[in-house]
Amino acid sequence: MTGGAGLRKLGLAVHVAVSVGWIGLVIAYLGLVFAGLGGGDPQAERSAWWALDQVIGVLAPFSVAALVSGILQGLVSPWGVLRHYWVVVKLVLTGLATGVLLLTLPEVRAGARLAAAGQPVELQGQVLHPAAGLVVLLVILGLSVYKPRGLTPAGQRHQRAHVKRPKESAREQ
Amino acid sequence: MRGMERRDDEWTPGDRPAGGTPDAPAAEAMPRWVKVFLGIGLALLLLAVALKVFGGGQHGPGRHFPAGAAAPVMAGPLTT
Repeated sequence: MTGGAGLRKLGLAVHVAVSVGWIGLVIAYLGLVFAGLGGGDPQAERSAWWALDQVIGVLAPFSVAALVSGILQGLVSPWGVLRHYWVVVKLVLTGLATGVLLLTLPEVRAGARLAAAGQPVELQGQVLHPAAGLVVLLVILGLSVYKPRGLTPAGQRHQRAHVKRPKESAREQ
Repeated sequence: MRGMERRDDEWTPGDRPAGGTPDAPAAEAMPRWVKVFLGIGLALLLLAVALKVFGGGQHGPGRHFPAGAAAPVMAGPLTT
């Protein structure tokens, strides 16, 4: 299944926009964590938790949008979803990053509630997941730009089918 | 002509693997870069499991909260 060029470009624009937005939001998230950790000021930590709660509320839909738009883009473009290793690796990494983000969401929400209630909640634990997530997102970005070669078995079958087809149609004529 | 040569990173989804013919494209082995990715992924997975087993094992929502704090709440807007 491949869509028209206009539809494919629109889908690509949406996918790039939400994916780059996701990277920017993760950087903003990390910036807020470090700002909260910086001075050792309890008020700054409480403010950081409140801000993290706001940012992760936007991050979650961006991550899901990046995953869904990527799958749709694969379906309507000649690259496919499972034909090329770089697309498959991207899909797996995006799925993992989205899953970890969605699992982290309740913790951040609860941390923000506790901090707002005046309880001490450590911010250090909010560094590892977003930092690792940022590395994963940059790897995904690299895969999208460099598109390293490699056809999956499904991609090879698809290619063989497309090579055979013209020969068979010529024989039928 | 040098300017007309196709660079290795410029390829399209329809390109055939090297060594194949139009009638019988060569079967393509898993590229080295995918094996490297799988190796790194496996190493990270083993590291995470080792940390969980030998590093106290506490991971998941609530591990950064003070003792006796309320359990994480799934949904609902934050009101201050």
